[in-house]
Amino acid sequence: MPINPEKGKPYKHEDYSAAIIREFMTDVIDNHPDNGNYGIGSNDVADLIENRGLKARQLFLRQIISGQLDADRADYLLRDSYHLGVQYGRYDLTRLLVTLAAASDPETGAPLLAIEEGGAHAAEGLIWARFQMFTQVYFHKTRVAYDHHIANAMRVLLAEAQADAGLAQPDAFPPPTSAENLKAYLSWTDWRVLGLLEGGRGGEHGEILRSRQHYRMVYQTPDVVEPEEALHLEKILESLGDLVLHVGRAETSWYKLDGEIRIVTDWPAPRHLVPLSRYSPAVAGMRASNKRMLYVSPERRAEAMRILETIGREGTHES
Amino acid sequence: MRVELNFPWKRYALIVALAKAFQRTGVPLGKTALQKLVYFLESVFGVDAGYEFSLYTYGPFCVELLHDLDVVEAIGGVRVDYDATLNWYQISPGPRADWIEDRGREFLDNVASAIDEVVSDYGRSTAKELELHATVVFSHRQAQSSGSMPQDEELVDEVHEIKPHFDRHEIFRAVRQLRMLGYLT
Repeated sequence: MPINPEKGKPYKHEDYSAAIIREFMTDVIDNHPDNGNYGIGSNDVADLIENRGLKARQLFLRQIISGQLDADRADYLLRDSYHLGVQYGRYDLTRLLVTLAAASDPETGAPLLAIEEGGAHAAEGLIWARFQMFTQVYFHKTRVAYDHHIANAMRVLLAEAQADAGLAQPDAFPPPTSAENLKAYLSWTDWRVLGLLEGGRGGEHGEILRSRQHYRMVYQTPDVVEPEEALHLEKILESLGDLVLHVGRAETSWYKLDGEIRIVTDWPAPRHLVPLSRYSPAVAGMRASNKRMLYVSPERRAEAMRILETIGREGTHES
Repeated sequence: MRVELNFPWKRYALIVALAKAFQRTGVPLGKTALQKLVYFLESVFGVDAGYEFSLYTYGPFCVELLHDLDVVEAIGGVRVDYDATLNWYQISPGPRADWIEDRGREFLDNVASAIDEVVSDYGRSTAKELELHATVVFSHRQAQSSGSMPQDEELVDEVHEIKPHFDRHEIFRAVRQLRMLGYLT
């Protein structure tokens, strides 16, 4: 993504989504004859996505867009599982939806999205499903390698296509600052990218994608990189030197203890909220991941493994 | 070209440093306080920890900061213990606190006075007070970034729309306190 000059950080996909809504969807959202919209306009939708100028009702709705129970997460776990032919991301969505509730924070009075007690295990199941999908699929060593290759191939494709466009960063998507830029951004469809790659474009990483000669992982840390492991990793990186072409990162928190899912319970009376982590030992025990994976070219894998054997120690993860 | 491991040691060290600062005051550090104090450090004191805050249910909030807290707990930099009586989580220095601080020593040396000041200003505030004060600062900054310098009345109106569960008197008091502390400039 290109750097936003106002913030000094890359634009997010939410910035593009909000800009597309404001630029191209105002009429269809605000003026569609069959759509009453409950008083929600295109700017409200865009503001909700961008988290801009939100008022009380919108802060509540925001939890449906972004949070531990958000709609995106509830959708992609099941959809990705289905399309990938795996079971990891499956959980009881119906039960979760039936038991959604509105509550208010007992200390601050802030409006909260919560779960009735009967849906607590469904919420637990969603958290567990996310953990499984990330560890088994999204953080799979080959998928992490392909993330790197497609990103670098895209940079080459973008730079070639935008060489004369006058952009500050021709190897990044055009910023979401004009209708022309947004149309250019939307033109980068799967069809276009795959066609360019098939036609031999995309530079070195495009060739890697076509030939499936992706970088190979030669070392990975445990999910949690404790101090001793961090020191050992630095030693390994130093020893492997320029052999290492990419450091893959598998970083996420499975369940965040701030903004917890709240369970509405009557036990003990009176009705009150209990954080899911207090309700579920399984969820409470989940630790964050900050795993690192070292990748080399397939031709030099054997060389890297020989070096690692001279460093190896009991318990080191090697492949 | 050498690749980097990109562990955000300075961010981890900042979390540990705040936990230690609170321990010295004798007041436990909660998760809300951590979020809001880091927000003040970045937005008011100009500390560049690399976090980006947005407005959520309890005021300015950064998902990355939460993740970093999870990681720092997992690697022993802090402990996060649940107090059933108070129904909240307390953050305190962990067994590897010193090691993690050393990793971010240069950064911490540059921001030590800012940490001391923000802990002195807000070390004894409740979660509710922090939510309100941080929301006031956030609204003020947002107005400034769109080119306006809101008067107190306008700021109170804006914050009341975002947080109607705070009455206008509470918000006025917060605005005045923040002006006295120099957080609204």
